[in-house]
Amino acid sequence: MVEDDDALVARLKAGDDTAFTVLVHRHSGRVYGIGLSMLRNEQDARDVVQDTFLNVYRRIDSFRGEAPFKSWLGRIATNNALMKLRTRRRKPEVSLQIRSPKFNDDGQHERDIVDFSPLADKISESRELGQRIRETVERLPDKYRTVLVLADYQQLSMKQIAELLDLTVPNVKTRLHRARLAVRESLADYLSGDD
Amino acid sequence: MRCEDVTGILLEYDGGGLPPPRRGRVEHHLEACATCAAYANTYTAVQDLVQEALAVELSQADQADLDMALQTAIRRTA
Repeated sequence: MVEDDDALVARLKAGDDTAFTVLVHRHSGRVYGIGLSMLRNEQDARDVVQDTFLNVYRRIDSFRGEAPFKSWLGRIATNNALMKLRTRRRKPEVSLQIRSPKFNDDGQHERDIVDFSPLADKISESRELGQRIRETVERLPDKYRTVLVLADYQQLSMKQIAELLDLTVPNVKTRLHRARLAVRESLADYLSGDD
Repeated sequence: MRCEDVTGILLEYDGGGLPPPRRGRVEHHLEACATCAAYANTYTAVQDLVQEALAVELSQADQADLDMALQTAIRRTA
């Protein structure tokens, strides 16, 4: 039987380090994903994974279980990634231009829109599409990428993101909207062969 | 309501944050405008696509390195 996170946390609090190993193996991919998508660098992302699980080990007694372990872990990982993002020597950015859809004078879309939404169910079958999305997200300027990753990958609320980034909720919404528009435009170009 | 207005509030529409009268106007526009309906579908799909595309796994070698690094760090602070 697969032991749930709550049971593993209880065992870890009781001093059973084997529970820690299970938690690390279960969640390391997600933490790595947070680090990689925010920092765009594999070594930095691996550092985030290591720092995050060390924090978990040292602070497990302060985890009161009011939120799921996964959320608590995600918050620690995000804070570690943000800290690294603020302090590291910046990798030169070749940022994606933040593009929005174009409209004519009557406020109608200028170009035809192809509905690629069914691809969302098939992304696991298309390595190329997944790669394109990762590259697009990577090329977003930091301030847009961070919000997109926190909202759409980590599924944090606008309020949680605002608190983490010390922004207002309307500011978070504006950045997220622009980031989604930019990713959407990039995918539309790619799928229509314009890029 | 114009296509441009609808596009500008898709985030609020998707998140369920629009008050009923405004939400109704957006829905009415999306029913009548195939272009905007397609645009809204793809805007919503971006969230799932990002979620799926960013999900990664640590390689076995990286996982083994991580295990070892954590054990060493924990022993050092014990």
